[in-house]
Amino acid sequence: MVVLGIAALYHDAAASIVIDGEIIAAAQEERFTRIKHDLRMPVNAINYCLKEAGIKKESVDIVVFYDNPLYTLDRFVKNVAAVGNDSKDVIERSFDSIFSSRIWVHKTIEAIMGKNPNRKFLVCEHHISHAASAFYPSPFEKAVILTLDGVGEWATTTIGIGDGKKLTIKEEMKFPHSLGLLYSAFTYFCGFKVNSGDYKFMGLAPYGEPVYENLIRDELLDIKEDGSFCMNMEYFDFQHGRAMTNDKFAKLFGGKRREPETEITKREMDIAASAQKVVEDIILRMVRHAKETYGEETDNLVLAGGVALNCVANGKIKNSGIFKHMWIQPAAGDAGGSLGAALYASYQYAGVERKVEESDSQKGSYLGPRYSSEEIEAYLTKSHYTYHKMSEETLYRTIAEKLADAKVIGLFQGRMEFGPRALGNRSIIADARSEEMQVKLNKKIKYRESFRPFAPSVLREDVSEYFELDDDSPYMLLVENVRKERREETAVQKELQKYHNNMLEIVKQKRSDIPAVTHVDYSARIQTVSKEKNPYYYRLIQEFKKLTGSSVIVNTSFNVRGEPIVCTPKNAYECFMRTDMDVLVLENCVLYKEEQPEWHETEDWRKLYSLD
Amino acid sequence: MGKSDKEKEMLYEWGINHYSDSIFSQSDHRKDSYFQQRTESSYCREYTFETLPELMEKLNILWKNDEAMENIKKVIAASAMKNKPMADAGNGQGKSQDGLEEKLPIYIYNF
Repeated sequence: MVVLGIAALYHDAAASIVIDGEIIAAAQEERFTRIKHDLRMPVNAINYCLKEAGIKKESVDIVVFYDNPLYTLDRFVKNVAAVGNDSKDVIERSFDSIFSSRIWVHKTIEAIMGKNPNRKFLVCEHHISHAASAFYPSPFEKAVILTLDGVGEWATTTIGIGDGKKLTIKEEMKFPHSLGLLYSAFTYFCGFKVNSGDYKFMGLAPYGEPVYENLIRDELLDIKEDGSFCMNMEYFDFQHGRAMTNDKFAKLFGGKRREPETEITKREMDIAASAQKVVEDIILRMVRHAKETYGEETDNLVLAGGVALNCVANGKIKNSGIFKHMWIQPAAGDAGGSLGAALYASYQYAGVERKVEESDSQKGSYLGPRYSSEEIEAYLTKSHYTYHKMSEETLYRTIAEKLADAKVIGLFQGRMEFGPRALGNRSIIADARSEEMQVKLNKKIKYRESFRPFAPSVLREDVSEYFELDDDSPYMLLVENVRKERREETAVQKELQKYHNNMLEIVKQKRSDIPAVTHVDYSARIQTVSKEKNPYYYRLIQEFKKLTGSSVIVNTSFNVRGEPIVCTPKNAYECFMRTDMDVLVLENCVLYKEEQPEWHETEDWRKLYSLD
Repeated sequence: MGKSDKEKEMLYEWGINHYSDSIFSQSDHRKDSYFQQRTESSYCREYTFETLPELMEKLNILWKNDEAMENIKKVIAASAMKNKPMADAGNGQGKSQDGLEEKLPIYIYNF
């Protein structure tokens, strides 16, 4: 039974293919088109999935779309009536998309796949797609499911139960009352782009103090004991299709929203801290409620939906102990909906049996294209780029030596990751012990905001030596603190005062013996690396440990700001040459910057990628 | 003049005439919860239609017993049929995301 799942038309279009219940391939369209968060029909991702599966379009039994267009239409039309004479903007904004694209999604996909009377076209509700993406690949026979996002058709939060292959939604919150939209509203107000900026907003929070917490609780929200809440829509504007927040919101927070790319003030830091604290409280209440109501027979929790990418909140859920075990879909946003829809259609619609794997069936989330050594060598040779082909032993030792020498390395190996995190296959890596590395990486490699932290990859067996965690975290979805004995005393608020809120000065201060991956509050977003899931990456870090005694390295995604993570060797080489990276590793081929020909481009590449 | 301007205007007028502040749930301090129980369990279904009558059938099911929607159903159906992709329209990807994003301020959530 071949099932193709598709997500598109909102943000982060993607395709996934599942055969007889097994995940074969999945990829986001942006990686192929090089347009970040590309939301158009994922033609390239579809073609890739079919190619990886070794099948033709005619062999696909079911195509399933991750959203029900008619329920979305219902929400759109009723939104118009809910805002009455102030609905012109929301109509103008969404009308064409609803009536040209979404309602006719079946025709668009038919144009891509060709007509086939034997093939079924299904639509799967948005939050079911998320719920399925969280439950089915998890290592649990039974679990409570929590999905949280901006909005699907109507639902913004759901709580459900997964049991075997059965999946049931028990309760939900509906638009416009949405944790995702609430968080995006704050993200927007602080001058970041929604969808890509929410992550930065989360990273800003440790610089601030939650001085606005009570204001948010008193004016913006009515939060119940079970975590459900109602937003005071007098302060928001997204229901009118204009902006996320309005003038009344601005007045509440002491002035206009921050303009993008302008100085970040203490106000934004404090808003970030306050919003993060409130959101964490809401999520924890929901988790507690879910356990009390549906968790009598299970101690397992699974999560998906864009809000499940808030890894700080995930760390709090884990430490709360409300559930003993937790699993989060690595592609927790809309892209993962393609996978969830495909899995749901496989198990529930087509009746395929579900097989639960001991660790999970996400395959490390390494579900995208790979390039063989032969393909890579052919590309490099044809392009006349100088490279060194190495044996395994020499390769890992060379990478380790270069890391120890404070070189920044672009690493391209194996299958591309599915989801927003790079997990060692399309990563830029560096020495976490370096005090200068965070500044250097932000300024000269990623070209991004100076306050943003970097994250560690650490050998699984050593994680508890460095961090307050002794569990698997293979998908970089949990934040925990660096161990106390490794920290160095700093006082963020005092330092911010001293340096007039200049976060770069704070960033420069050493906070631990792995400073490049220690955020200002000593937290880190951890990836544990195991030999079973990624033998190449594991060996590389192991070699670094042999050389230096440290089994932690910096792992950031292989891209510059505004660019999707690299997909092909060509993307990797271009990114390498456009930045101050020192070394590029493509499988077993090593390239040194100083040996490369001078880099010329016909147009300014910075104009290719709008700032995220 | 856009091809759907008339339908947009009709939808706008309908929205004014059917304005209700109870469509979105309101704050209520007497309530214990804003969670709504979910009873329907049919989450995934076949989706296909070509003609106006087929679409109307779907809308009739969707908005069964909803008097307010009776007054807009035909406009909705007409809007959809007016915007039906042509047979040779391609895969809908286009050269850019214009048409899907051109009306969106870039800092707003797309739903």
